[in-house]
Amino acid sequence: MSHGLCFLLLLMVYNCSCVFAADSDAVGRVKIINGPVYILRGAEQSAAKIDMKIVRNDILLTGKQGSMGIVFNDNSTLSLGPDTKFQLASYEFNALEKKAGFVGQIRRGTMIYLSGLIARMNADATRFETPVAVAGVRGTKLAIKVEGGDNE
Amino acid sequence: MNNHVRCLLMSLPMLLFALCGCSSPRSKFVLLSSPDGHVGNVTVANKTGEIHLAKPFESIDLFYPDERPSQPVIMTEAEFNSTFKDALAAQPTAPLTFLLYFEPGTSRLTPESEKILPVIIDYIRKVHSSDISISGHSDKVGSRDINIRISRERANEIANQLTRLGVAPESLEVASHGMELPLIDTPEGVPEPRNRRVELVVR
Repeated sequence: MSHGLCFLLLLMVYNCSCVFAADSDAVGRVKIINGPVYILRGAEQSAAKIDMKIVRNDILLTGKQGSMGIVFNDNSTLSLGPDTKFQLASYEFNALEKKAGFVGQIRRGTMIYLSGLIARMNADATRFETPVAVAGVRGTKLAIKVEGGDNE
Repeated sequence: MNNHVRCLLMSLPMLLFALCGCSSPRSKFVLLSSPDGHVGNVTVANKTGEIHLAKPFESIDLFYPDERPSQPVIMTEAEFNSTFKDALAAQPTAPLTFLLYFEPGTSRLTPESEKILPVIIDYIRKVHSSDISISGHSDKVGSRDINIRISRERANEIANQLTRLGVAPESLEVASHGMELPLIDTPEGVPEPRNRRVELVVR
């Protein structure tokens, strides 16, 4: 049964990756890199480089000595410390269509987020999910540390 | 020897627990003040309850998904700096936005804004930016179509000037929004110099 579930999950991940691989709209860019840092996009993992584009659903991974900094289209910034796994679950920023939202999932490691224009457009549209709770961020700076989370 | 085996057997479940990542995923949340001194607020919630963080360095530590968020505590700055040392060091510079204003109905910069261009160029060079967005806007005098054209000409004019001054064209992302995104909301037909602008963001 658990194998069946795993298969189902894999299938879901696989299907999602196809959808999002097609969605190449950059929502942010890598600005700072130290040590080993990777971007997992669908099934493809690549070493992150300065100015590399971030798209929705990307998983950002830092190694034991790694850290990285990202600037998003709405001028919000995110930095990740070592041994961190972070997924950009959702990102909407379109002033003309009045769409704004930011959802990040941190499975392990450390992060610091500084809000930008999304928070000004919609104060209740930014949140970060950890294995134990969800943080709703209203126009400010937040640091999160997750210990003993996802070890994949 | 026997003791060693027993010890190993006893620690096996713990080891497996740790290896499979089933150990409790403890999460710590810390509210900070923004660089401009503003302190917003954060709500930390799970299925058992929620709590608000409203002061700088107020933090909450949760060990289990069904642990009720309780009273926040103030984290010392020293503890914060050591816990988040590498993430702190990897924070990118927040993007800087410049506003350039134009003469009515044209893509001609006002004399004041013309003086800002060299400042912008200096800043782009200083931060080695290769990610610059240029968005043209207009006020609400004239038709929508005319304003889309004017805002596009304004954005293109700034892009051309930057390129002429040595900024690589591939670093520029140019967009025009017509009269749709005014900084100052006015009725249609009202001239508003603060809306006749290009917003230039250096990332």
